[in-house]
Amino acid sequence: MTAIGSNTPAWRGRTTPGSKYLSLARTTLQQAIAYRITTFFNVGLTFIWVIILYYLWRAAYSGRASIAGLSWDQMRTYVVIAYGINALVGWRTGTAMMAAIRTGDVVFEMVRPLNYCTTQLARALGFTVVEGGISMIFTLVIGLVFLHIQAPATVASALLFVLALIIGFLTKVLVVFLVSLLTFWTLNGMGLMWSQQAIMQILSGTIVPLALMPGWLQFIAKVLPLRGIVSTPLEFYLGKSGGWDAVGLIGLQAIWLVALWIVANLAWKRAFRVVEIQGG
Amino acid sequence: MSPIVSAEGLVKQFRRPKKGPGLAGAVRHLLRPRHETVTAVEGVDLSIDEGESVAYVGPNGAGKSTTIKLLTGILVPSAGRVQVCGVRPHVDRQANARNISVVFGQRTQLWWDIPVLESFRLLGDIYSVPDAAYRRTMDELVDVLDLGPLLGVPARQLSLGQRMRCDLGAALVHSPRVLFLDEPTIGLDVAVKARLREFVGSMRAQRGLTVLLTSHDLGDIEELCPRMIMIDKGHIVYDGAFAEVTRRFGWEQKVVVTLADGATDAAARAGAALARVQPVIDETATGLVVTFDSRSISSGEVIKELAVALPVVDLALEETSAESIVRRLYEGNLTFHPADQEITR
Amino acid sequence: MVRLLRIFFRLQLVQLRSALEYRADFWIAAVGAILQQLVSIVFLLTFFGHVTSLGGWSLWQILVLQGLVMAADGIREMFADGVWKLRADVNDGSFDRVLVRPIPPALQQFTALASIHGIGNTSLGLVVLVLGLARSDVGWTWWSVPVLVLTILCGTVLTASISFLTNMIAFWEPSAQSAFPTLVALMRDFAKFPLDVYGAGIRIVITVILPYGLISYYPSRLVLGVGDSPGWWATTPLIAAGASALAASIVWRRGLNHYQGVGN
Repeated sequence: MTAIGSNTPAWRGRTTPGSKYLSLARTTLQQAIAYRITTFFNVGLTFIWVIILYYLWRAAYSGRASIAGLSWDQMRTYVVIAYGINALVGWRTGTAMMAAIRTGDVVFEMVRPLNYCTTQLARALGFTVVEGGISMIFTLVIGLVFLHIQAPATVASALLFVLALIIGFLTKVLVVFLVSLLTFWTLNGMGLMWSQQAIMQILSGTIVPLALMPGWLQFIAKVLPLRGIVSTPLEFYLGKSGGWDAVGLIGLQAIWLVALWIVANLAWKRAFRVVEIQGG
Repeated sequence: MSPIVSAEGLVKQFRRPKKGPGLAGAVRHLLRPRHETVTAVEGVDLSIDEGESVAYVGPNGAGKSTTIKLLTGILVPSAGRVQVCGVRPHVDRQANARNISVVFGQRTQLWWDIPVLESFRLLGDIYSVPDAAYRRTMDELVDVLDLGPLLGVPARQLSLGQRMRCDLGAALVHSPRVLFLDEPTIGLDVAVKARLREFVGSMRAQRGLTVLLTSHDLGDIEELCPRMIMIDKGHIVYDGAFAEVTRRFGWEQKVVVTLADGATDAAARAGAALARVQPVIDETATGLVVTFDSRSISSGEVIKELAVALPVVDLALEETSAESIVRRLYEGNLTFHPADQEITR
Repeated sequence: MVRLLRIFFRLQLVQLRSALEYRADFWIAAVGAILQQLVSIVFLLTFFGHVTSLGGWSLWQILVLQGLVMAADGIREMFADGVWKLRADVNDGSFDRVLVRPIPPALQQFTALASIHGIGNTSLGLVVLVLGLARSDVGWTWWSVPVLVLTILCGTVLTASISFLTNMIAFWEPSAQSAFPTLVALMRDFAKFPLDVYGAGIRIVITVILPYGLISYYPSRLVLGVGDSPGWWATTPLIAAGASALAASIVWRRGLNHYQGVGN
């Protein structure tokens, strides 16, 4: 016989919409903590390229002070923080969603009175607390202790950095969401994930700062929303952008965020309808 | 003639880590790991002759699957000896593999996306079955199991019953001498079960196939296996004819009593009335179930006492069959004492 | 031996047929895998837009390194990717099946997965390799091509052995996810660039512990004529392949014994 009191059901008193999503986030957080060792390795995985890039750029900067307006100190900082930002939304957000679609567990989501997109956002938040936390540890240890990266250029740029980071985080989750939705129509999630990761690495400015890219590629990257995930926050961090220029960048990020949000919500409703027609 | 499957003093122990709960426990385990030894199988002796068909029953966790794994070479014994067809399974694994076949009820050995016939051909290749023998065996299997319409279908499109038929056929492609069946009829409907049992029976009769079957379906056992071995908590508690079980353990009987409304303290009053034999009394929604040892009191006397002590509306004497005994063993309602071959609750 | 080879290819063929059942998936996976490799190519091309040499190597010479690693890993993906399924098989008991068949368990494990999309990586790798060789100033000799072919084949053995070894953790830690094997496998990216740029620590690791360098950097230096390269470097791929295969077979045997000792 269970005693009434400490085990009172959770439905008592929890009816406001906001807390539904928060409790989802909390549950995912618990799951993520259980998988912390895997997360540790997965974040460590992404930092392999930080090391490679460090050495490659070090060789490039021997004998010159700046490349495309970036000094060696700034380039080092860029590389470390770019990967740190990327690790905030790891592989787990997308694969969890795709797995649910593939196995058919997504039907549970379909019969719940929740916004599917917001649900995934809440889940991503749960994962990010752990993934982001571990990423921050890597960034700080490797960045500050080993590679001596710079601090933000000014206080204003630090604030702008954080703002852009948040918008960028939401942008990335929405992009991953949209790509994962494709699993409703195809089956191979891994291929989709690989493609999305690869394209994102290039067009967000992770593998190489946008300023270094050839003109045509730079243009494409500047127009798409992916730059808001890594490049824009870093431009603020390094003090490369201020004043009206900064406003413009944040504005662009925000516009893209809204656009993606709208598309995402249209897309998942469409996807659910397709599944219903096919009979699941 | 030496037995085709023999085990002597078979023991299997596992070392399980003992971890405390939560983060503290995990850290403590990291620094000072503690283990406990779990004995899954202890002192098991088996001797099966060629052509025999033996049922191997026991509740979950009794050591059934561990024994099967020891016999098929999947696990190495902690102590004792195993021989199948003169080969030690865990030592000469590939040689042993040629003589045996295993059918797992829950898992198929067919390749999922290719037609069944392709799986058969592949198995023929893997087991190095000579062409003539392969064709002959296939003809027979296709005929007896009615596999014709299934051969061109990929395994993933088959129903459970169809898949089991194919799995059974696949297991016999290389004409093994010993066939291990692990819960083969689970989830199947009556018609398919009957067919499979018939098939296994005929394979035994025609080819002298030795069969070792584990199953929760007592119909399987009754029809296929004249001999039954019961294992409980790692020990063999019975090894003999299936029919014998009733005679040996059938002394436990039940009377199901329906009482009039408003009967109070029914259990206590019944217990008092039958105090001298100390029966087990369970209350139900409509009355009582009285379980007693028929060696110490006859069912007639029990009924008489109950009718006197309580407002009985209806009585039923539950039949004890080998089935019910084994079923209760599976349900965990019976405990065997190997030493005195007695059951207690 | 011949029989085993034949069965190996038959099992691979089965996986190939299974994979082709899902045609769209094959293309998506192939495209995805290629895009992943393209990232490092895009980086290289952009990088060399601002720099003319890296540690004394030209863009085209570095493409040779990239191509060798990509091709070797692509072939491994096509033929031995099943080892990535070991953890799942051990955990759900399917591994038992492997032990009751009269063919070597390792062979069965290699063929457990259909990663025919590896052909994408292999093709890309070969294209990149040929491109790099064409534009580098190679002093072709009679042994140049054989050494390159040997390097790729030994590279396949090396990457297969390493991925096999790291996935064997599943025997001792069945709950461990595949993060660790993935991490080790990714370290081959170090070998896509000349080892000269790295610090001593990494150079030692990539040469001796995870000898990806032995199947890219050292033979390439010999063939491309970058710096002084002793002739015996032509055998480094063989050393890498031999040592890793030996290590893998030793640990595999241990792993099997462990599995048969403790079950799952």
